[in-house]
Amino acid sequence: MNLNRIVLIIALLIVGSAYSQQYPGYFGKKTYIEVLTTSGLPLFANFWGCNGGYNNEGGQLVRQDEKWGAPWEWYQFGLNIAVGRAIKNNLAVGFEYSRHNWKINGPGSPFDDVAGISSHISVDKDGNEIPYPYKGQIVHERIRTVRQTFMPRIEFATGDGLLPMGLTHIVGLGLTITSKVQDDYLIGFEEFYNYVKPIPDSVYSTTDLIDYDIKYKGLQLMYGIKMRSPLGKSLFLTYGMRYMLNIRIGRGDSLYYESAEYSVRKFIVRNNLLNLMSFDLGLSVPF
Amino acid sequence: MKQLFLILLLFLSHAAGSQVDFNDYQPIVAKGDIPEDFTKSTYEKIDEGLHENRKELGGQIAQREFLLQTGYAIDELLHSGIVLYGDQVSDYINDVAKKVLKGKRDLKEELRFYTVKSNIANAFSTDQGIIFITTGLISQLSSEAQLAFILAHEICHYTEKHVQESFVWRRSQRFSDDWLGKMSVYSKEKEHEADAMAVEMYRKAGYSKEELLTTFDVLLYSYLPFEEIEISLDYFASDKFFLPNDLFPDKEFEISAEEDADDTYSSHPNVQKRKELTKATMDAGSGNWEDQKFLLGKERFIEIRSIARFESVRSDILEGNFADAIYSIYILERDYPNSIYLKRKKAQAWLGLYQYSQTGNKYDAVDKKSELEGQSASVHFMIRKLTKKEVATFSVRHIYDIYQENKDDKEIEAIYHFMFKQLASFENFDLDDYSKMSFEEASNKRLEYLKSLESDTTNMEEESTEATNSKYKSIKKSRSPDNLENELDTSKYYMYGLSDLHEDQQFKTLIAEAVTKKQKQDEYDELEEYNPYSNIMIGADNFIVVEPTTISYSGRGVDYVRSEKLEERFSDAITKSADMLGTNIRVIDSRSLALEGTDAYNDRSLLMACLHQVTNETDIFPFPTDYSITNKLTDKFSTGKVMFTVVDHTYRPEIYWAYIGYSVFFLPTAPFVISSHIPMQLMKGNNTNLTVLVLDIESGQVVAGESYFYRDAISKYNLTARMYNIFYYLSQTP
Repeated sequence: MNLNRIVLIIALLIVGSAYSQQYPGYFGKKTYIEVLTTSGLPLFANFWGCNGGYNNEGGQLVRQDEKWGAPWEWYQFGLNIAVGRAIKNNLAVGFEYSRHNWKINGPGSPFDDVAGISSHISVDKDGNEIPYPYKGQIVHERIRTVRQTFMPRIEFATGDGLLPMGLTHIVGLGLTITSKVQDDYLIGFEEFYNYVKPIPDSVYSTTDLIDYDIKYKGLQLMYGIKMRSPLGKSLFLTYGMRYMLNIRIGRGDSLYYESAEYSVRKFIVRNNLLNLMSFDLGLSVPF
Repeated sequence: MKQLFLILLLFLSHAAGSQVDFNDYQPIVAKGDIPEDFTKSTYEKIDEGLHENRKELGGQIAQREFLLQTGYAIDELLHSGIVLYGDQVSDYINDVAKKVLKGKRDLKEELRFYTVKSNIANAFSTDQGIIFITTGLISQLSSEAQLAFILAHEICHYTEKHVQESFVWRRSQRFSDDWLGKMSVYSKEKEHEADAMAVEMYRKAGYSKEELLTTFDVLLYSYLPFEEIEISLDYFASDKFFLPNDLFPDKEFEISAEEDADDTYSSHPNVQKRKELTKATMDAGSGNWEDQKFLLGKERFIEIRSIARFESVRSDILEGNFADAIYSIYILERDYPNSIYLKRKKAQAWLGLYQYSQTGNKYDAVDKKSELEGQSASVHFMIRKLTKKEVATFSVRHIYDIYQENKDDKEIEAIYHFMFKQLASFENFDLDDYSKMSFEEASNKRLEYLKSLESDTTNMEEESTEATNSKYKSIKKSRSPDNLENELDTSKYYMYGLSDLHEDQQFKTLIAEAVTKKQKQDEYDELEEYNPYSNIMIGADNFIVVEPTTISYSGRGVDYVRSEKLEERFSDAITKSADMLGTNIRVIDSRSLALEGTDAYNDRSLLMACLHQVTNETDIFPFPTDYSITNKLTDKFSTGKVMFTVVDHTYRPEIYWAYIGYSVFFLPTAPFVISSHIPMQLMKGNNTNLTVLVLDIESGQVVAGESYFYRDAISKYNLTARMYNIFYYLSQTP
């Protein structure tokens, strides 16, 4: 977190403090820190096939759909840390940082894009030589991505609220940065009948396909509804749900449409866009 | 000899102490040890009932249903603050019951007799062995024997288990045709049975045979005031307050009650049938009859009945039945002309009538035109006829006179000062509208004027001078009651009713001060910024907290067990939150009753009556009926701020199944709709209303009051946090 964001949080809390003098808060506590896990069922991402691809199962690349019968991912997890301050019974300001992890389809490349490897891989599963050109493609294990969100937010309660306790509606607009996690992913050659043969790192590595320094920025517009149920004078059980709209900002570098990075970007942007809802569960500590 | 003298002295002092001073009457309160009936929680009673396994009610489900129904209904009454034990009336009822239960020691120990402060003439028994008798019924009686028969009747209902039998019968017949008719027949049979059995009990006690049947007359006419005595218009008039005769009706209003009234759908047989059957039972009996109307003495009966009648006046004021109160005061003043209590209540009745009249609620304080019956109808008739201005005049006139005669009485002084606040508040009272002459003086002056017209021409000159004045002055003058040129209009009698007040500088100052205060308050209200908590910011941190009212709804209505448990949780929340903020509170609830006993019970009853009075009135701030006693609580608790709270909670998620149905047709929206709509509605399903009301018993005003709506559950911490918030704002000043 850079200095600007720290300054922003402090500014929000100072403004909040100035307005909250005539408000007792929850047993006199108006500020809170919240740690939540967020999880979602990526229905739309599944529907539009963002979550297919290949998993690394014991050193073998296995198609996701071979196991589940469909390219479905059942859960996506993330972590959300927020700090806020109630300035009135039914109004609070805050800032949240969230980190959302999931895997996207690995980039696939046509075989003929990959120069210099045919001699090493032009054999079939029985070890027979395969004549060039050959129908197949380079496949990549699913890539882990991390979306970080930095978001100032406003909370409000309908009825006669008593923030930070109780039912609260949250609205925020934040910046998202999605990056790829560099790792020792498996790469393979997929033949027409779906047999995948791993390609040794010495021959061809993931960094040859993907530029891990490229990060994708976006905006997130969020509305959430949460219940903070008190477990004690200094602890809430917090649960709820949030709706998000993640849109990409900036055009980024122009990429060749058949390049691996183009494919990675496509899946990141699509996954972000289709990540519309998640459930939150965690604890909040008022002070 | 010395010992005998001491015993005699003790006896005399006791006898003197037991006599009621009706001139300085104090409302009756509970005395002695608090019975368990009042302190035990309802669900404890239900659990005990279930352990008893009362098979006559049916299976476990039926038993539970019965215990819930009866347990909560009875406890609601026991906790209402209107039930008394150990007081003079309850003691008397117990003493009469002992006579009736002669030779039935077990039954004597089993039964409990309590007095209910209510003007509805009623007596009823419960399966638990409690027999309730209302003060309204006692006030109507003309002998102890009548009470004895009523008690015997209720005791028979208990011994014959009529409540339980009725429950079993109702359950078995609930799906049958003409349920109401059958129920009526069944109920009447039980009443006849109780009457017939009661006759023997009554006879054995030694009461008069002739007096027995008169008990049914008491029941027949109990809807009328406790006496039928003609009231004259002169009761309201004085030498300073002329009243025209047409204010009173020129005919008597007939009494409509009939002995042979249609009882087809009634729970009780008509009086004629009851009399006939009872007489037949009496005639068929073989035992000897004695001829006693009063086994405990007539004097004691008269005293107890007077207490009940004084309580009747109090109840009428509390309930806003001001016309009835005025008539009852009139009757009681015949026997107790110097009673300061009656004077206070009369002032309160006129004050209440003034408030009702100005807010358009006057007809709530009087009987409907079609219901005018008997002698008291004259009072109702007159008040119905009075305009707002006339009621204002009547009220000011009577309160003023009562104050002038009883300036030393603190309560009357408080009513007098409260009146000015009300006069300023309704903004339509101006002393300048009233004549400076009484009707009689105006009448005399008019005669003199007419005579002088005939003999003196100087008047003509004066008239000529007047003619040069503006037309507006002319109009005003023509309308002035002091204009001698006009004929005296008796319909404007009230304009002459406050003539002497023009000379009372204190009256003028008080009303001017009240008007100024009201204007300042209005200006402040206009400037005040809206804040949902501004209505409770009163800068107070010391309260008497009355047991909260809690209602928890389930799918089938009120869940009484949950409601009672919620009350305990909420009481704890109040105590803890006040402790945390350093707010001083004194909680009066069922748990404190068990610890502190009857004193706490009486305090609670008094405060419940205050709450009842305030919540009964939607448009006015009533003057506290029990002002003198409630004020003593201020000294006792070092605060006059009494907090009442009500919490109601229901968990009802609004899941729109139609949304889900539509979404299924538009796949793949179904998973999204289902996974978002249902959890969201489940989360929003809690509906909690918390109402806080703070009554200042010194002024009788609600000083803080607000209702809050929350989507929270009703956990311990939720409730404590809410109350913390409320106590915080109560301690702030706007």
